Amino acid sequence: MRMRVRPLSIALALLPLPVFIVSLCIGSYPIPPATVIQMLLGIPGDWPRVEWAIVFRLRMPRVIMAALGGIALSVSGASLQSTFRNPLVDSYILGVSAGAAFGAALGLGILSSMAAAQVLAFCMGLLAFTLTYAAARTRGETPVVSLVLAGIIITALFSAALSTVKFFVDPHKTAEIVYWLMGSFSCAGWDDVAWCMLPVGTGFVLLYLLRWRMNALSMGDEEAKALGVDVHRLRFLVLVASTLMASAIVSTVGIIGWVGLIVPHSVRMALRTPDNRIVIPLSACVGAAYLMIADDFARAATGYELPVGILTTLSGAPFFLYLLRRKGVRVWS
Amino acid sequence: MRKEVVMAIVAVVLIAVATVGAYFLSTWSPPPQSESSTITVVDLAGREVEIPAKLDRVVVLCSQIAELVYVFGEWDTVVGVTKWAKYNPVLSELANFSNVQEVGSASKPDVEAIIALDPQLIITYGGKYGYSTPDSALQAFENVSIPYILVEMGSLEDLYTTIRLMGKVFHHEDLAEDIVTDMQSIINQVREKASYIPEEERIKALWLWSKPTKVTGGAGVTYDLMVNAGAINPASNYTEKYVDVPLELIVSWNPDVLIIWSSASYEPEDLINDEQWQEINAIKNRTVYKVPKIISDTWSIRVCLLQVWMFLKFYPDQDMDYSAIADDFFMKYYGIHYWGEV
Repeated sequence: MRMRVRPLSIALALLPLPVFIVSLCIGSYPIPPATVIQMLLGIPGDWPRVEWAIVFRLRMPRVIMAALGGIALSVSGASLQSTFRNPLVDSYILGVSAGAAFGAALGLGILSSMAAAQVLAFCMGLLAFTLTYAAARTRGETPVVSLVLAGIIITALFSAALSTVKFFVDPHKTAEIVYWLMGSFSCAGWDDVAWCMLPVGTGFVLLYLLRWRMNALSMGDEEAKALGVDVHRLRFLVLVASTLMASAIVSTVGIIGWVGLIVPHSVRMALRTPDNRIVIPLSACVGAAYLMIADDFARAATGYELPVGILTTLSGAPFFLYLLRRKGVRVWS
Repeated sequence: MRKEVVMAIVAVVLIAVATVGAYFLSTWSPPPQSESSTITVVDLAGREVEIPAKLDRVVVLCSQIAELVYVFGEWDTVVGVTKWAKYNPVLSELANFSNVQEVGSASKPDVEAIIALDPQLIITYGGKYGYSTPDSALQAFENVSIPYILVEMGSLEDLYTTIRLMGKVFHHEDLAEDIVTDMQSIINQVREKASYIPEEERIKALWLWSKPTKVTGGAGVTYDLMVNAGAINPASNYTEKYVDVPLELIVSWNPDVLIIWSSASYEPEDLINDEQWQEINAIKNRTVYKVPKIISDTWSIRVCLLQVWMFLKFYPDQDMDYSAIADDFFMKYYGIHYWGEV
């Protein structure tokens, strides 16, 4: 068993590297892969300046953004599933996506500013989480069921607010908002990488450090308390870290669904373990690779810029069904 | 037993009455107006529409048509108007909205408010686009026998047809013809000048929509304008009006001029300062322009001014006086000097 798991874990951990390099070689602008490799290795060559700009200014920040998105959504999904002890939870359950969507709609539809949309989406994502947490907190405790229900309520409220904005703005603006909701890395640049790096990095480090405590929590509150874990503090930290990561990504590239469900489950089922010490870091690696590959299809499969959120849903939903049919929920039971 | 029989008979009678009533209601239509008091027009959807010959209560759900009605001097006939009319740069300056009720928009009309205005005619967008009036609303207008005219402006020819149609509806055929002639004359001046530009000197241009990577494809009014102005649209292989393309495809096209839709959420400086766009000629040469609001509407009669503005952005050395042309057009049709950007 161990012999089988170890090479697979190593393979999954290394997966993002070849995917990253291949992704840099893919695009509408024809650049020979050998030239891309040469550029990456810093070997001098006589390639045109535009090719250098395509690789380092267009493709690289976009591919890194996709990797960051994959890390953020997968790790937050894995952490929340473990914390909630519920395999169907992801980072959007706390109202983050609905809040961010409303913020983006305000920015795009009312203020007509992409920068404002990004800031408002981030702030509204955090606000939605805060409202969810506040609504669920009773007598100093935050029961999981209350959190899920509060998340559904806050999501519904922000969704209604989003619909209100969409109703009142110009149809062209509505189309812009709808397109944003589909999720896309098409405009991702180094600024966006810089914007996301701190919250995603902070959230990831925090969740990585908490991974063994999450194992204790996944056994149940009473067992975790018996092991000396401050359950409420730990749950709060996991929620904050997950929300921070998801809000940063959603505010930058829109809503990309299913990553937080597919990746952690795939990792758990492939390695046959719910151990967060393995699931958290490998979800980051597989999530990064998955979203980089999805974005490769989004930008290069056709002459069009396809919204990556559509691709992750189209590929994720059937794959999730396959996983459930094939292996059921044995890892959780 | 006897009581049950009576109740059954009553029930059968009630059902029969309800059925007959429903049948009559479904086939009922108001008495036709006398022939002399109506005219028949064909709208842009190809429908024959019978409308009152003399109009004094019209609801207009297209701001460009509301503007045209103003130009015809028939603004007093408008009792209901789209909420977007007050954002029309000309109407917002010149028209009096105090006696005109806002009735939603073409895509989201307030059907009851419109019916309550008892209009003789509704003018709205046809087609199956985001801005089109939904079938349910059109059905509601039919149910209360309010005629409606559908307009669609997929090309300049559609726009000319619409202007002539409105001329017929409001009995200003001559003025409508004048407008079309003047528009065609201005646009033809541009086309003629553009025709002398050698192929090798023609610039590559892109029209950017709500996001910088959403560009005009090989259809629609903006595509027509670009071609008229002698530009090569590298995205013309796409058959759609708008198409979202990868940024590196735009870099590979390397356009010389970028035109930004006036309502876009970004400015030329945003692209000029964006390092991802630096390899594009238009950025290097600072030839990135946002369409001025006053000529932004490609479905308005002002589109001919946009044509000239665009041509001069493509070829600044060409001998055309945009200010003079715009001022003449505004004085002739709006009775006021052009006040927009040059």
